[in-house]
Amino acid sequence: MIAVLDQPFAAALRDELVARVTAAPKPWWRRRPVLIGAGVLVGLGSAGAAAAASLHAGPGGWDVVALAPPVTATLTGTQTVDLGARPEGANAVQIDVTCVTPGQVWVVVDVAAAACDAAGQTSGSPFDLAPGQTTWTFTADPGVTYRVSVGYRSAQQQPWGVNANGQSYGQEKSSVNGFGPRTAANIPDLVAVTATNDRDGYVRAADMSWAENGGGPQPTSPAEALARQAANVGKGWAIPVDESDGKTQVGEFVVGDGNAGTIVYQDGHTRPAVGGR
Amino acid sequence: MSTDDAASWAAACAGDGEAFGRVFDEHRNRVFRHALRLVDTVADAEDVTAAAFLELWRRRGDVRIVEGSVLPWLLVTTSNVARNLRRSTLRYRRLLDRLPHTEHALDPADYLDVISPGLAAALKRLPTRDVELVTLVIVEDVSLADAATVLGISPGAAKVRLHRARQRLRAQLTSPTPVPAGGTR
Repeated sequence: MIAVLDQPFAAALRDELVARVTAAPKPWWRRRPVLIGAGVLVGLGSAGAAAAASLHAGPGGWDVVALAPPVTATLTGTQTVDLGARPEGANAVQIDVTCVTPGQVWVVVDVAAAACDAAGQTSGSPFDLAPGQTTWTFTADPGVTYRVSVGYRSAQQQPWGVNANGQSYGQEKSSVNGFGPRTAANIPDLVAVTATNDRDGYVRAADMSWAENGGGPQPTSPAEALARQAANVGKGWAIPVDESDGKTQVGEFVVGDGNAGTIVYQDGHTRPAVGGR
Repeated sequence: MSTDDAASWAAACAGDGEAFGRVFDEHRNRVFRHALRLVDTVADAEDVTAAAFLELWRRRGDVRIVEGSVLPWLLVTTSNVARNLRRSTLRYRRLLDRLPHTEHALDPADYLDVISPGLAAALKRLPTRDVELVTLVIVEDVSLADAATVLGISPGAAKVRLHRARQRLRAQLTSPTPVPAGGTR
């Protein structure tokens, strides 16, 4: 007989694995795009702007400064690039990757993040450097050829503002590419966003948590997270965007997948979505 | 080795749970059969299988994709988990205890016509690094170059090591008494 994994065991294990993956923090390149089409969190996931000398002014924003011309190379397979002497003050690098031939290239930090997986595809983002680090390893399928550009940066996150009511406001604290634990200490009372009407403003952290968790408190188990995800297909979650005073509303922010058919508000009322918004 | 595998893996790394489920569906029986060769009970082989997939997720940043597939990496990890069953499953003990183990009437030997019982026994006596290589190349039909990639050694070193492992296996399969791993005849 051909041995196969016992069905009840396999089914229970599969459920566990799916729940773990679903509940895990998302890597930088996927964590934010669920918000695209509905409004964007300021600062995170907008890697394309990294070539600019300064990223996202404002409280909690990043000042990213190029310190040296980038090292460029065309590589095949997994390779380590020597970045040269590390300039004074460098604590990050800007990495841009373009696949020349089909296949996958990964930038590995806390988790593997796909840099490109098709010929001609490009991505770029700043990444933190470890103390003393002067090389960067790119992981790639054997035989895949790709171009990289890696340049030293100084990246400093600015302090949050505080409004008249004592509420902190600004961008979430994180590593420069948006990784990092999303602990309460890293999230200001009012989180910087761009509203669906393109106005910049702030949402209350509690409102954001409600919206990101599919209209409720944080799930307490992977099973609950899965059940809620299944029940919430086709829904988006709208929360108010205010000035930094936390009172004057300037627009709304919608958390959803861009294909949402129904937008749900915190008071329970709903409206049909237009283009996911 | 399918491109679907690579696509599912990339999606899983981005947090798509169902994509990881597809990777599991694709490889679970290969992993389970490999685990059966290395441990003594079906329940242990199930635990090894579970731990290998849990490690696949936990160490997703380290996984080497070979020919678009995670299978070679999974099989090597399965070997490592099976070699030190207690220590490597400790991390997942609470979860493993929660998974439903069916009472197995069958002995692992009943399953083992996937490879000969003699080869299974000889495999258990090989050094870990040789088990990994033999499993990939001889049992799972992975090319020597791909096996070298997943094991992080040069193709030349893999060739030499495989030659020695074959000699050792041959000696054990024809010897009435087992030759200790690393022993000489």
